[in-house]
Amino acid sequence: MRVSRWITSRRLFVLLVAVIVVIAAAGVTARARGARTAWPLRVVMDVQNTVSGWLYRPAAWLSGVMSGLHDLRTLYQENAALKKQLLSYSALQAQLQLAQEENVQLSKMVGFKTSNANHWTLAPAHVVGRDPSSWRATLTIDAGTAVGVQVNMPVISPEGALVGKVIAAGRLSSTVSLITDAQSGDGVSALVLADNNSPVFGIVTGSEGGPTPLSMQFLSAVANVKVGQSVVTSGYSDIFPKGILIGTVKQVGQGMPGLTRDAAVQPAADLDNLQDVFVILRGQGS
Amino acid sequence: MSAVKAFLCVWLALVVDATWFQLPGIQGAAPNLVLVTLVILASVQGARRALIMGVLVGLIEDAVYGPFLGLDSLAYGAVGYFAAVLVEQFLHRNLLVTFLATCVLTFAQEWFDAGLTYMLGMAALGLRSVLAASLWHMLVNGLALLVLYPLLRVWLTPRRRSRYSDGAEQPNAS
Repeated sequence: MRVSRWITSRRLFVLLVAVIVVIAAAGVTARARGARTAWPLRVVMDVQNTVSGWLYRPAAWLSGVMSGLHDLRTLYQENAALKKQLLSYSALQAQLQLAQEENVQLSKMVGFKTSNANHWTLAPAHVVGRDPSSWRATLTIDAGTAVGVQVNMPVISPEGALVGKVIAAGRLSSTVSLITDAQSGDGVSALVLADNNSPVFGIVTGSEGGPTPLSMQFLSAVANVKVGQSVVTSGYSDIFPKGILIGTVKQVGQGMPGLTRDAAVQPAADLDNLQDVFVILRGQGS
Repeated sequence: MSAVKAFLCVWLALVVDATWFQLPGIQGAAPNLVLVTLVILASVQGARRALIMGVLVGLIEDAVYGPFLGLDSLAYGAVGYFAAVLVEQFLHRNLLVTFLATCVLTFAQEWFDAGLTYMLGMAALGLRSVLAASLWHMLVNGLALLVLYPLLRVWLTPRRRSRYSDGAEQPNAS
């Protein structure tokens, strides 16, 4: 039979060896990717991402324009609503100014240091490509070690919502693992901002086949978690600073019976339509 | 020359896969252009060339986007090799055979990719979602092959010097 000419025992042996080599290489490189990326890989990354950028940027811009036209009607409606709200803006501004002055005064009194958020050094970057695989959620950006980007640095959207973290950094480009990627380590340590000013702790991970792309686990069974509450980073991890908005609770469900509860979380960042992001360069702030 | 042309073709397919085909609106209905190109390459240039190109483009994908090295390089190498094996079973290379090879290999590649990703703890996947995705991609990749086959077959068929020509390259009649 003709197939036997192609699938000989020697070739099957080579295939078997290849599978074993892949599994071994996977084990080694999966760990190594968390550290510094080897220079040949950095060169491949930079070349691929530079070429990808030439194609992705104009196409993403065009896609954004088309999407904008589609939303034009909604924009008119929002504009009308905003004009109405603007009427009470002046009064609100005066109240805000008073509150800020009071806040400064109180902060001085308790020796409170200004929020870290004001001291983040951000590196802007364009999104230049995405992983074509169906089962992984990574994207590539055109900022690398040349501007100070390193592995494990958090990445946020222009609105300040959490996007993910850097998993590999070349000189001119980097790979970012999205928060929706189920391979993002053990998840993101997070807090639900509950109504009674006592945040509820949990772990946010990517969710495959769930109602939302993110799932929050290990919530206390007695915690007062409601739909619509904001989820932010807790600051209990070495990677993500405290207070970055992750998303909002869309659904609350049962976790381990009697012990914990789970929540479906809608990401705040529009992860499908990202064109620009910021990398938080830690250690360079004040 | 044909090797360079083949590499450029497969690499360009990867770039398009990672850029235009990832834009919102296109993302869900986008074919795996690398796989389609590799199957056509295997049908016109044979197993060895398709295997090498598959491994090379897979390595690039692993290096730039993947969580580790080896997953896509092995998957695409195997796709290239087995596409040639499948097509070679028939006396005449034609569109139908290549179409069937594309569908079968899409199914196999999706399960291999998902399986190895799951096995190495890189993602939590459900069997139903993998099955749905693989069936959908079989359809999309099959349609993409029907569109690209005439163009890529001509483009990737190696040109050979004729014994009786004065040095000008002639297309290989296959």
